[in-house]
Amino acid sequence: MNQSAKSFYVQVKQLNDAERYYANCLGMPTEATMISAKEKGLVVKIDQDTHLFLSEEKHQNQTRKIVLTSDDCLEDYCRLKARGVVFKNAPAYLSEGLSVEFSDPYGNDFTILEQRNYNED
Amino acid sequence: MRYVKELSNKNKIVSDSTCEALYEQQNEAYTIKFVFNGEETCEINKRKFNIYPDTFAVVNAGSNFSSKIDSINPVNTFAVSFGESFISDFHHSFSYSEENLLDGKEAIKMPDFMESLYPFAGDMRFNVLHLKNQLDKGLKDEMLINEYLYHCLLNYYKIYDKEVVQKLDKLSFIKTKTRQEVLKRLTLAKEYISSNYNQNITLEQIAEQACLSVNHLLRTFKEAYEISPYQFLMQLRLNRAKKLLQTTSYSLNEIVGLVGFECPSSFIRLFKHTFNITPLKYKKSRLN
Repeated sequence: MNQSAKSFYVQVKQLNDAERYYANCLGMPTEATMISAKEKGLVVKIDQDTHLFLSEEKHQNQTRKIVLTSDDCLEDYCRLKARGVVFKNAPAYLSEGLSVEFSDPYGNDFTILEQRNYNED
Repeated sequence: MRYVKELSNKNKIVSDSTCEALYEQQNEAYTIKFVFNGEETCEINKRKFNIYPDTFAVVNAGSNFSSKIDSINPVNTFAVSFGESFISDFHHSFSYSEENLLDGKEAIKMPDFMESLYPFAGDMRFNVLHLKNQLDKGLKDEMLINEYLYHCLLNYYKIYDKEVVQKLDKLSFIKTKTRQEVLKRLTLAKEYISSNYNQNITLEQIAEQACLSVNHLLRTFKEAYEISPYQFLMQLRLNRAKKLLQTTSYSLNEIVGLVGFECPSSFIRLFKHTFNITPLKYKKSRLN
């Protein structure tokens, strides 16, 4: 998954469970953080420039749909599948490229999208 | 560097980079052949054509196949062959509705592809380049390699539908057999043009190769491909010239000669008319 600086704020039921899921199942490094002065959170580092900020509280800037850009969708699909991630569908071709979808245990929907420029020389 | 990757399900990938090669045998498995630079001369069941980086060739299992590479610079070739059960499973699930599959209705037939050149573009290109890059880096994960190969077939079936099935529908002959025969001959014409694009070829020569009269060739070619053989030839020359501008340090005059244009000014005019940029400006823009 690659570089396009993005931060997503995502609600999860329990930070401890979420840490296990994101670190062990998805294989993404996590780090404890503070969402506000009183609220604990978790940063998931998807790549150098893409971070998820997980918190148990509901906030206005949170989203349930997260699009992760990928250099190679099939590689990411197979890597995550081997780690036990259950995908909603097989990788499918869209007008903008190849994509595949899965959800985390808290109902947040993830799309892995490999953007392809079909007009490129 | 040459490597051969044979998977436990008999899928096989051969990558090679060589200046000289001569290969002749009966093709054991369904194979898709790519060339990333230069050209490879092939003969399938006595039909001769060249594979260039903008095309790929499909060879059925059991076909007599030979290939030859004779080049100053190394030619990078890449061939994927599919194990019998892999391709029959794919063909079965792709060709039959879910209902039929659930009913267990059996009609498993191995595919019989039109052995020819197909455009190497779009998703097929992206997926094959990913596969090649991964294998060049030493990928061993069979699940991932098979996923690439599955998508390679998926992409090919789409291309086949566009290049064969839809073209058949465009031909105005009533009998299916006539349409199939005419398309086969038009395919021969396209192969001949693609393989001899840099030569001074005539319409008569193309028609002779396709076993069609000139008038018949002109009419049916336009019907199927919506352009004339001459326009197809010009498109090929311009696109291949564009590739040479992008990837080589050849001078403009050299490229003009390499792609079969006689006069640089007509090349520049056509290039600008087609791509809205002059060849030199295009080369500069690519360098930047």
